[in-house]
Amino acid sequence: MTDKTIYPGLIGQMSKKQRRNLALTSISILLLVAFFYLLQNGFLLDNYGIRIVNLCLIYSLVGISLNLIQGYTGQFSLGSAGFMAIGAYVTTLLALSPEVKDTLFYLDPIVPWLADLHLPFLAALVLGGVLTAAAAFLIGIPVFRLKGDYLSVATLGFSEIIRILFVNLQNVTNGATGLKNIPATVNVWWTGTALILAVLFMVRLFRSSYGRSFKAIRNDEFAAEAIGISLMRHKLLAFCTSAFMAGIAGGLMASVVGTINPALFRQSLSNDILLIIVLGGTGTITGSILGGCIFIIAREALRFLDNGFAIGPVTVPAIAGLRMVFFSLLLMIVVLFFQKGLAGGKEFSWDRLIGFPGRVRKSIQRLLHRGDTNE
Amino acid sequence: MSNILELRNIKMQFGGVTAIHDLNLNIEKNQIVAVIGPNGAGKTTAFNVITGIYTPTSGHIRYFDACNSDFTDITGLRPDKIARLGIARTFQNIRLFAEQSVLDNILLGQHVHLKSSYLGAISYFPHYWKEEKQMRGYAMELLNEIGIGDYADADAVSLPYGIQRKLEIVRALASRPKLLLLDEPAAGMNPQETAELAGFIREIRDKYEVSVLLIEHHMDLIMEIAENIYVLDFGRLIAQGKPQEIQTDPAVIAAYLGAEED
Amino acid sequence: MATLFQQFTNALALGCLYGLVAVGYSMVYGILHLINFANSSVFMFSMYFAFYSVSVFYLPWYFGLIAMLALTILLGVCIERIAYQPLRSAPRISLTISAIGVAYLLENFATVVFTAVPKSFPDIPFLQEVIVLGNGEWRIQRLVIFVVISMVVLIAALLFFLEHTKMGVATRAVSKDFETSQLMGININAVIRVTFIIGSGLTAFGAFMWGLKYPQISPTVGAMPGTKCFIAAVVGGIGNIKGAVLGGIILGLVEVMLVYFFPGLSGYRDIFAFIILILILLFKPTGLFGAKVTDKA
Repeated sequence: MTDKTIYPGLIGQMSKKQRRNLALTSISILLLVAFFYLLQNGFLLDNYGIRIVNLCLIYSLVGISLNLIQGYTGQFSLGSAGFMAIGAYVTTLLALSPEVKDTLFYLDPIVPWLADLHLPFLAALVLGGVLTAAAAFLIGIPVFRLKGDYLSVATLGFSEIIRILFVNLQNVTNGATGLKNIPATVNVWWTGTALILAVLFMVRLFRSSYGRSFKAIRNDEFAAEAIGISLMRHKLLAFCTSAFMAGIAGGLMASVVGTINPALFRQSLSNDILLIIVLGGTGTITGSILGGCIFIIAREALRFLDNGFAIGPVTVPAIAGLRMVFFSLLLMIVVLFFQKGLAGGKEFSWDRLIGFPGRVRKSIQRLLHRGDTNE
Repeated sequence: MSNILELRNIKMQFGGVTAIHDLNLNIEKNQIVAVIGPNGAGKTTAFNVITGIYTPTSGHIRYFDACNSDFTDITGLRPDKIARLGIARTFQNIRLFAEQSVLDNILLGQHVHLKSSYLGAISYFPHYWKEEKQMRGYAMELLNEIGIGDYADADAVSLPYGIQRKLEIVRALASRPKLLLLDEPAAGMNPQETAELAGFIREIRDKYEVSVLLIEHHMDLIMEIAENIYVLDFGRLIAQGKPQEIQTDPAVIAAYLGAEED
Repeated sequence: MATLFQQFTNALALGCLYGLVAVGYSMVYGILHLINFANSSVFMFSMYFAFYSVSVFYLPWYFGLIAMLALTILLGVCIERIAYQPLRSAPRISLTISAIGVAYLLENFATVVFTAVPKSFPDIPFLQEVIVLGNGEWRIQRLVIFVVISMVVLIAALLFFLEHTKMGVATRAVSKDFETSQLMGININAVIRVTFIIGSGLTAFGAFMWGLKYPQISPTVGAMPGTKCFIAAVVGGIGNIKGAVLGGIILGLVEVMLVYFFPGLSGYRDIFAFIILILILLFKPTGLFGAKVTDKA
């Protein structure tokens, strides 16, 4: 390991390969921006398609958030839904105009201090993330005295407590009815930027000493503590960061779907997120994004299963929910047979992508070769 | 000579079982001290008490803190706080961070001294940049010391067993400790490797000015490098002294040969 | 006073129900160290089995109960065979994830087969009849008596099985030390299968009685009772059978009696279990009766 690989510095000092990778990265960022531009202006997909892309990006973000605490730091949390709920509610309550709030809270008037509070969406979103992180801090202090299954059950418990509180705090959250007419401020630029920032953050984090410490805690908590890593402090850092991202994702989701209510943030949502990172592969950013996109796209793409279809002479009638069965079977196959997930536990890099055809050729050759010796 | 660590009347009980009875132990600065004894004598328990994994049932541990040049009571402090004060350790069954690289393992040893804040480190402020560069420099220096600088990027567990032992010691050294606790560093090594290890331990003591406390079963290693030996049997201190004194101590011989003295 | 009595008997019945299902969770955890998240879905399926046997195939309720028991046990054992057995040597987290995956699959499957439209649990007049005691003020549903008695009988039978049969002793041994039992020649897979048979059977009983109390069946019906029964097992000390029963009873009493004394809290009913869970985890993580876990250094 030379200094250069760590501090790329000026382009002039880079190796040929690094320069190629930099070029490829720049091109793909430009392509991504162009893609977002075309998408946003309706050249590529209709509104429904744009909504799917938004959800893909948001679920990828939550996937990254859960991966940070579970995949990288090794702390099994089942509380993603609770954090998304806090983010979604805080953002929405701050971003809704006083007039809309007035019409929404017809059962029980909203508490006065919240009634006239109205912030620009970005401020509401960031505040949503910050408050979620604060909640994670308060939850984390008692919860991280626990390990393993006990920890996962406790996070599940807190997530449910948050949801039940939201059902009951009628004059803050409007109870089980939820909130409607949330401004559709969020578009692909918002979700795209949030995801890119999260990825950058993760890359930076895991090149820093703190990221290494998180991984060390996953590897061997006992040894990590013995070399001076404060478990509580580092777990809390990871947990709060993860919650911040989940909160932001919740806020973005509220604006994309337009209506929120506590039932949206049931335990099954946390399970969805867990399955996303399992699908893509725990402990990688690539896996989170892959998992998030596949989860959302497959759910939509398999919709034809619900509407009835024909395979040759056999006609399958319309059965509601068939796609979800198919999808969950797919998931169980990954869980049982591909425990590293679809990304194979490896992070994306240009070197791997470019080396891919060569590797495939090699493994085919190896297969053929083995066939020779067998015969 | 002044002491760096003092154990005073340490007693450790688990439920009804007393693992350590009334242990007194001193380690002088830059001294190599060994704790020996048959299996189950309470040696590793003593390590765990010193490093804060267990809080002793009674007794005190005092450590000479170089920062304010005075003794501090470290009894029952959390392991990471004790490590921060300059006491580093290795484990009987090697505990490297298996899924991380050799270099990362050493860098982790230095995390204790990181000054940059969490967000500062992630935003890659120049201050952090400088720290990271320094950490990497020191890590490479340590790796070259044990001759595996070329394997910095390899997975820690891919190294041969003997090297893994050394790597774990170097990881402990990376935190610039004042006191190094080695739990059976020669376990599973052949005589040649053991002899080499003896030289290595003495070398790091001299070069990095650390005191060393080690648990070992290889008597030749102990006799060669230890300057002071404590012998435990069933949690009791049965002898203490220079290697030659221990070799001829009747109580020690009895404990090792299992003589009946009911 | 009469209503207090009625509330108390309700609470007791609910508690016994929680306790029964909790024993299943507790035993599975004791052996595989797995929170069997799939059990909520087994609970839900069990209710549908009862619905089909009694309301669709017109079996008398006691035959319906037997059919429901058999089918639920079959389901439980199949889940173990397909989703857990292949993962014996995998990291524990894979097992937990597999359990969540199975729950997900079964829930979706139920939506397709049974549709999301709620069905209602069969009426069983014999059990739902209210017995009037004394001067007519003291009332008790026959179901309550049935629940309490079946709980006592089943748990006594289970304890007898564990203490006095060869298989039972093997089960206890595996729960104490998995690896050593394996070395001693105990057939681990058989023990695990027996554990799942017991767990699923108790779940079916629980589901039956739950259905009589709360007769609406939908694909998500198992989530809350499932989670609460697991909590009961944790409260009692996971791996401990008497603890699980007691944890269930405590949970049932707290839930019903708190709402009785403080009607304002009725909306928060489902929160109590989680609060108890967190308090127990923080102050006595091994549960009320759990064995002391020694930290291996």
